[in-house]
Amino acid sequence: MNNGKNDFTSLGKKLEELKELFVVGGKIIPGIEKLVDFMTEIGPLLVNINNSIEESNAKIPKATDHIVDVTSATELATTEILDLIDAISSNTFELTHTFNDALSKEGEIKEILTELALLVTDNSEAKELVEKLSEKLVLEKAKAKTTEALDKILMDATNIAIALQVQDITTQQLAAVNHLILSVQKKLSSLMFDFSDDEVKQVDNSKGVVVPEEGNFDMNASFHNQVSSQDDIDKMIIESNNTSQDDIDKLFG
Amino acid sequence: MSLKFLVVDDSITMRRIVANSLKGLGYSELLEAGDGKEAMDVLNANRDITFVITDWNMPNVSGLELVKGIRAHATYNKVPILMVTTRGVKEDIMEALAAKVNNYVVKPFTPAILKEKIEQIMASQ
Repeated sequence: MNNGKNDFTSLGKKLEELKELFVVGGKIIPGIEKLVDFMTEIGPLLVNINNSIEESNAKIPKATDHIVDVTSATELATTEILDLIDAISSNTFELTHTFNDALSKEGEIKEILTELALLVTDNSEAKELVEKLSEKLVLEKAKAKTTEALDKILMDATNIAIALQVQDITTQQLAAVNHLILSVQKKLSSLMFDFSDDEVKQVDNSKGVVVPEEGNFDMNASFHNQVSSQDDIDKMIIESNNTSQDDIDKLFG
Repeated sequence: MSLKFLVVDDSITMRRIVANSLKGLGYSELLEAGDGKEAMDVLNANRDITFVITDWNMPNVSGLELVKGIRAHATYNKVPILMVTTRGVKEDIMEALAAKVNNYVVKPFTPAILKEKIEQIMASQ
């Protein structure tokens, strides 16, 4: 009899617990429904993000290929310009040499005319001709201007060659950009791997782009005023001569 | 004194500009290398090289590693080295000096600066 009473008490408790569970469930269900709605909405969005990442990832080799193409093209163009500068310099040297030869010959002609003038002092017509001929010798007068112009051509050619160092500097900047792009690609590939069960698609590297390793380029390379920069560096070197090895070691931790 | 140069740079343009500048300064004897590794090979094959001009950032073996390699070498550890590089921050310069480069030129340079540094180095030898 007592056992039957206990069973009813226990059943009552269980029903009470079940009722509480229904109450809690009633409260939780709208939340779960909202979560399901959210997951339904976010699913296509995640697929879109994944597709977008995949698309961007696929474009990266093209971008790096373009950068490599630009680097090769500028190097080729720079080599051609340097060839022209060499030709200009060589021609200018030759011209200077030819002018100096002509100048030397003109000097000899002047000496001959001076001797001739002495021989024809009593022949006014011949004397006049010698004088006219002397007036035609103008190389000596043109020497200063010609030399100045030829020197300027050589100086300009040298300055153009110096300016072409920008090619090396931009190559290093482009290598730094390529390195950054490829780092982004690595990150994007890992994101794709996180989002998708599929294997990460291998990116087509048709041109076999060489990934620039850090250390092969200077990320901070810039074409600034060479004189002030070198002056600053010279000062640092002078200072470093007064710096102990301990001070240098401290700089590198 | 007649000098025989080794110009080390991975950029063909830069090697040519340095070589042309040296020729303009009257130095006609020079060899070239595209990185530190190639430079060590050239040095080993040409023990009469008396001056090295090297870039820093290069593939395979960098200019700094080349400097350390030369300074650690029994035969040519005393060869004067001028570093010509885009790296112009103090830490880099101090690191190069600690590795025992004789002087340091930042790109872009002029033939006049190159001449000045070569003469300074040779005067201190």
